[in-house]
Amino acid sequence: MNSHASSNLTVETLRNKVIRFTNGLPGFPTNREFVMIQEPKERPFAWMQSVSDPKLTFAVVDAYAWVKDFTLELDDAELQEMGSLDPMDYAVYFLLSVQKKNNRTVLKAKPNAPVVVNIHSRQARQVLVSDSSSLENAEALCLQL
Amino acid sequence: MLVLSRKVGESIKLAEDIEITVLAMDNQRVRLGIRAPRHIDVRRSTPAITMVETNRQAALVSDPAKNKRILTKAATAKSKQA
Repeated sequence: MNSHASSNLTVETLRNKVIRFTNGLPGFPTNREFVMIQEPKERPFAWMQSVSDPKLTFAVVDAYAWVKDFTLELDDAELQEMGSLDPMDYAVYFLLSVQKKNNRTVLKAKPNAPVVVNIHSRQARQVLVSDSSSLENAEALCLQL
Repeated sequence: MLVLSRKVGESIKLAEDIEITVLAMDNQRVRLGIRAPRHIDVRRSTPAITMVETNRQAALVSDPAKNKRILTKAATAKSKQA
């Protein structure tokens, strides 16, 4: 999948909707369903909260908003399994680590393993970026609040 | 762990329907061909560990209300940065 499309629209579509990791989320195999929580003023960030364990939450960011000219290459076979070959049917998120350092909060993106969501079926899958050279600097984009 | 030796072109079978063939070898690398039914999830274990680690690092196990304003602040900071 190669897409330069800004996915703001697609992320809007998923607001407060439940997405489902059919293969499970690595490390959290029992948490398959997550609700994407976002207030408009939080855009392009959102919370991905486990349905079965609401205390388990991930801060995420729209990959297209976080990295300028973000592109993601995925196998057609992988896309086929997720129900569409059209890049416009997918939202892509980076998980963020949230750390407190000296009274400041630092958010760091995890660009090597984005979450890809089919916005129509809401089927989700975490994928590995095979060539992350273009994303090498992405993690350095940390925010100090 | 069961340890087997195979030559290039030879294979091993797991249960009835999974076959792993050694396709090629050079110094440090082995190329494997894996034949398995579609529902069998095949992946390289090193990246899988990376994903698990990544996710554990990113996970927040706490009351979401506590972190409520973080993303609003982040969005503001991000828009200033852009």
